[in-house]
Amino acid sequence: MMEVEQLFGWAGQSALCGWLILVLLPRNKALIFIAQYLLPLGLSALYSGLILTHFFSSDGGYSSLASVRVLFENDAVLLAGWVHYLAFDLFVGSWIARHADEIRLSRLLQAPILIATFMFGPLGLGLFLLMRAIMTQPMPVQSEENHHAY
Amino acid sequence: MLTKLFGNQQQHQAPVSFIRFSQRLDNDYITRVLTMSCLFLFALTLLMLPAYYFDARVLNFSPIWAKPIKFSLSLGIHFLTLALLAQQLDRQRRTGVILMAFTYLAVASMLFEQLYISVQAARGRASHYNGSTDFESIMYGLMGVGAVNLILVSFVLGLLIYKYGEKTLPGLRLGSILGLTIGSVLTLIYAMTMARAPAHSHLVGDVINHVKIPVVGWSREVGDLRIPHFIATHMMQILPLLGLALDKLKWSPRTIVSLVTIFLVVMSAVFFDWALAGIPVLVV
Repeated sequence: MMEVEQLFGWAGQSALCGWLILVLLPRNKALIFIAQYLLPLGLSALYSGLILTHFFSSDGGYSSLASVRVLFENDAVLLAGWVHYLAFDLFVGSWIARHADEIRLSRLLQAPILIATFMFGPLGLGLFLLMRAIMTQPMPVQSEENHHAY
Repeated sequence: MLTKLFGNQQQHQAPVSFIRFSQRLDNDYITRVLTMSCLFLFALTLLMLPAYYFDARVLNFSPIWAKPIKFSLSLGIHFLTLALLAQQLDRQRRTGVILMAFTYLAVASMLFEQLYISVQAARGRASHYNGSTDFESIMYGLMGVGAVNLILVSFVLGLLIYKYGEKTLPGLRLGSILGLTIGSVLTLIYAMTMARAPAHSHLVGDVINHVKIPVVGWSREVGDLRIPHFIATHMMQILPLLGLALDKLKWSPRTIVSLVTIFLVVMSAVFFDWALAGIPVLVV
């Protein structure tokens, strides 16, 4: 029991590091690598360990909301579900950050989108996809003017 | 043929903002941040619509999401207006330190206002006129500061266009200057009066039936201070559009734009006076 709480804390803290990189730190390849690949990979490893150990020994399943509830009655599976959120949200957040840089979205406007993704995953993703749907079209790069992306 | 078909993939491609495609919008960082603020707000509006339909909660006799949706829509229009009208400045002036400072101040204030209003709605709490906790009372004060910042940028843009704006479209120029400056000043006056209303409400009078004008939600039985605010604020769109239309028709804009400006100022002042006296604009 204690161990599950401990793992929850570690998983949350490592995801938070990724989000701090995305929201606050300057953009460089190494930092983006940490947020987009290294941390989600670590979380994937934790998830695999938890889900492979506990999923098949649980009575629950994916077939109905009731069986999902039974699944999540097991704390280890509940933690796995949470780690699933953390891993996917962080990966999606990094994807958003990179594409936002590409369309040169100000970091000031990236911040609320990334925080929305951190807090409520699909809400932030939806915001960014809707914005991008309106404002982007593929076009050859033109070398031009200053690089005031921020 | 093959290179024609697949040639595009050889080139390095990057998505570029749609503003590249518009003849009206330059691709500098000020135009981008203004345009993308508008897109952010419109995207947020779309994502709040499902909540508007799902959420049965009511605050002050309105659906709880009506207010954040109205704010995101009108702030989106505000930023789009700023982006479009700022094109009358040359790029150097537009990206100069004055407009940059006021633009970023306004974008930060917009994010603060919109996020606070939306989160308060989600919590089922009022954002304006809410002094029930220390936190909400401080936030209400900060929202006043934010609102001033949002109006400052349009006022400053009006002055910059007056001083440095291009003169090829005299109607657009006159409409922009009058709309942005007078619209900002009147908005500030009306909104500050509204914020300090003794009844702690935008309504003046005793509401019984809550009869409203659809969509905008203005009262049809008591005075509503939001009506003059609306007219004053949307002078920023009406007057430039009118001026531009006159330019296209090759009519002389000076008289018509001036007369319409006076008409709108008087109309907003009259409605302001009525609202303060508790008189509705459209009686039940």
